[in-house]
Amino acid sequence: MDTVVKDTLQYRIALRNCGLINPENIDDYIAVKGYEALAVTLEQYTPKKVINIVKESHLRGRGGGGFPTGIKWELTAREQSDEKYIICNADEGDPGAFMDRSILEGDPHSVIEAMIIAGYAIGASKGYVYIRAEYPLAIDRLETAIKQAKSYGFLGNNIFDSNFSFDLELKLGAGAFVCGEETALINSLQGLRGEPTKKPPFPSVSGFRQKPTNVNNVETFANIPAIILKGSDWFNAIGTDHSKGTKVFALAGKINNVGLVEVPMGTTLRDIIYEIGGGIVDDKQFKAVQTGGPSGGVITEENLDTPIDYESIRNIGSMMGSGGMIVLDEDDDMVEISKFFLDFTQDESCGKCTPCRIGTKRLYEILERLTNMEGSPEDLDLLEELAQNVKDSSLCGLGQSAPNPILSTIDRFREEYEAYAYRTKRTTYAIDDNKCIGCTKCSRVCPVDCITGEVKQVHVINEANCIACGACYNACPVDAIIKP
Amino acid sequence: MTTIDLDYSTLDQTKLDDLTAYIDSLEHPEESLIHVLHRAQKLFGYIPYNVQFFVAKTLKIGAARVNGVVSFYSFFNEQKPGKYTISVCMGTACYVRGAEKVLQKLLEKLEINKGDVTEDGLFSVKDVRCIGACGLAPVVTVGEKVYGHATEDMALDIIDKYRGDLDGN
Amino acid sequence: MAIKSLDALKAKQKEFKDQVSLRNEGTSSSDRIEVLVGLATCGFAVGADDTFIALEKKIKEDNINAKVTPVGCIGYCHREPTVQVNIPGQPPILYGDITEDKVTLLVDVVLKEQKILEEFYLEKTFDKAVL
Repeated sequence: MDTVVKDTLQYRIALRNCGLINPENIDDYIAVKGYEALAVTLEQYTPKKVINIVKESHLRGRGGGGFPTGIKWELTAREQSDEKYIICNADEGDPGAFMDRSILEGDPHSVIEAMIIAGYAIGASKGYVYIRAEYPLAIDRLETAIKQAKSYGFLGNNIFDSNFSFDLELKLGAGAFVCGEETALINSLQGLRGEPTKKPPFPSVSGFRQKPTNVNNVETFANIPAIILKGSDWFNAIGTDHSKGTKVFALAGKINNVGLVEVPMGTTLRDIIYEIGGGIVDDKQFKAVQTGGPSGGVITEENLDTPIDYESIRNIGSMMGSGGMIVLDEDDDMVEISKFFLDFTQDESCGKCTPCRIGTKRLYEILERLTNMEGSPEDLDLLEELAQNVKDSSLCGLGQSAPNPILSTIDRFREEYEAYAYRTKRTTYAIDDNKCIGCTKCSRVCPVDCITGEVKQVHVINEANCIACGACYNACPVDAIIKP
Repeated sequence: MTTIDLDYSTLDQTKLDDLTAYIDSLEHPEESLIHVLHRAQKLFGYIPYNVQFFVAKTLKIGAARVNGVVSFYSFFNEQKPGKYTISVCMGTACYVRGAEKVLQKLLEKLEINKGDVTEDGLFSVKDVRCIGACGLAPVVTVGEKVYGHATEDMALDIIDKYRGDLDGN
Repeated sequence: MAIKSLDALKAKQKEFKDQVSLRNEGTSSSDRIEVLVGLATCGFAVGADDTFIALEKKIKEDNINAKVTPVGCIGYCHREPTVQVNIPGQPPILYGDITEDKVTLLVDVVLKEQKILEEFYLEKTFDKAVL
C-alpha cells in the first residue's frame, strides 16, 4: 500500500486525501494524521531542523519553476526582520491546469497546515493565500477550513502551546495570468496592478510590504506535511536523480480519460497518455502533447518514452510548468495552436515592458496573417527572429516564455507553417475530394453552372467561373465544400 | 468626445453605504483595493466610472489608480453586462475540442462582438479562462449553469432557452 | 475545543479509526455503509449535487444503515459524478457516471444486494502515501 507499485503507475502524495475525505470537516483531515506534522514540528523540531528536512527532501517548486523549496525557505529564514510573510500562490493561471483548484477543493487543510509549518520555519507570523476569484468553491472551502483550524487552535496564538503564533488570510485575485509571477502577485496583494518588478531584490529579501516573503505554490505546500511525517529519505526514494517525489498533471484534450493524475517523477509520457489516460479519443493518431501551457511547448511521438522530470522535459523542448498536459491528435493544426497561446499571452501581457507588450502582439499578427493565407515565406524568418528577441529581452517569465509555443512547434512542425506561408488566399469555393459523395446537389444549385461531376463521383468546381456566391456551400449535406 | 460621468449621487444610497461600511471595516483599506472592487462589483453588477470615483474618494486615493486597477484585471467590468452573460471557456482543453466555433456561433447569432451586450440588453458573450471542467470540454456557462460538451447547435438552443425564459415559458 | 498537544491530537485521531480503515481497506467494527460523493467543480458541473441529495433521500426512504459524505475530486473527470461505496467487509469500490437517475439502481444493487454494478465500475488506478 505504501510503496510505489509499478502496475498502478500513479502514486499520490499531494492528492493523497482528495476524494477520500470531507474537505469541510476538519476531523476528517485529523483522522488521516492531519496536523500531526505541525504538532511534531512545534513540539520536537527547531526551525532549522524543519528547513533541513525540506532541503534534504529535494522538493522543488511545483508551480513550474522547479526551484528547491528548502533553499527558498532558508533564504527567507536568514533575513532579519520584525515581520515576514508566507504566501500561497493559488492563482492557477495556465488555462488547462486545475490541480491547485482540486487540492484546495478536496484537501484545503493540507495547504493550511503546510503554511503554518513554513511560517514556523522562516519566522513568519502571518500568511496569505492569493487565490483566483474564478474559483468560488475553493474560496468557500478554504474559508471554512481556516475557521475550523482557528477553532482547534491550529491558527492563532501559541499553537500547540508553543510560543509560535500564526494567522492566515485569503486575498482574492481578479483575473490576471501574470499574477502567477511572484513579484506581480505581491503587487496585486497590495492592491496594485499586478505588474512584475525587477529581481533582485528577491521577495525573500524584500517582498510583501517590503518585508522578507516566501511564496510557494499550492501543490508544493500539499507535499510538506507528508515529507515532515515520513522523512526526506522516503521522499528521496521516489522520482529521478534531480527531481524527487511526484508531479500532478491535468490530463485533457483529445484523450479518453480526462482527469488529474499524480505520478512519480520519471514516469514516461507514454505511460501517462496510454496506460493512465486510456489513449486517444476515437483511436485517432497521436500528434503531440502540449505541456507547460502558454509558456511551454509540444512533445512528439519520438520522445514519448523519455522519463519526465524538470530537466528531461526541458531537453526535449518543452517545460514542466504547472502540469497542464493537453493531448493533440492528427486533426490539430499546430499553427492554430500557437496562435491560440499567443492570443492568450498578448492579452495577458501586463504592458510594463515593451518586448512583451508589443512583441507578443506582433507575433500574434504574423500567425494570424499566416492562417489567413496572407503570409509569405519571409514571415517564418521574421517569426523566429522576433520570438527569440521577445524571449531574450522581456522583464519577467511571462514574456520570456511567451514565444515558446511558437519556437517549439516551428521546430517540430515546420512543414505546417510552410504550408501556410506558401499558400495564397483562394477567392473561390473548392470541393474536398475526401468528403464529396457525388450527390450532385451542389451542381444543381450552382447559378453559373461551374460545378461538374457524375453521380457518385467527386465533383469539381471550375474556379475560373466561380462567383463565390456560396450556394453550393449551403447545399452540401456532408460539409465537403471548402470556403474561400 | 464622450463625457465621463463621475456623479455618484445618482447611485443607490444603500449600496454606497454598504460599500462605505465595508471599507471602514478593513484593517488596511488602501491595500485592499481589489477586495473593495470585488465588493463594488457584487453590489452594482459592474464598476462604472462613478463607482470607481466613489471608491477613490472613500479610500482617499487617486481615481486614476482605481481605474488603473479596474482596467488591469479582466474580472472587473466597466460596462454593464447583459441580463445573461454567456461565457465560453477558452481553456486549452476546450479550445482543442472546438470552443472557438461555439463562441463564433454565439457572436454571429447575437450579432455582437466579444465583450459587448446585445441591443436589448439581454445577452453578453465573453470568453473565460479555464474553469476547470476539462472533462466536459468544450464548456459554456450561463451564470451558475454549466453546459458541457457544447456544440454550435447547443449554442443556439441556449440562446433560445434564455429568450424563452423571458417570455414566461 | 482547542487541541494543545501531539498526544491530544493522537487521541482525537483514534476516534476515527473505523472511518479511516473503512475508506482505505473496507474494514470497520461497525456495519454502517459509507458512500462518498465527489463534490468538486467538475462534479457539480454534471449534477453531482443532485446525486448527493437523491442518495440521501433514497437511503432514508429505504431505511438503509448508511451515510453519505461529500468529498473532493478523485481525479476521474471523464466519469463524473463519481461515487465511492465503502461496505464494511468489502474492498471500497468506485463508480463513475452516477447521475441522479442512476441513484436508485446504485442503492438497490450495490447497497442492498451488495453486488457490483459492472457497467459503472471504475478501476482505481492509483496508490497513495499513507502518513
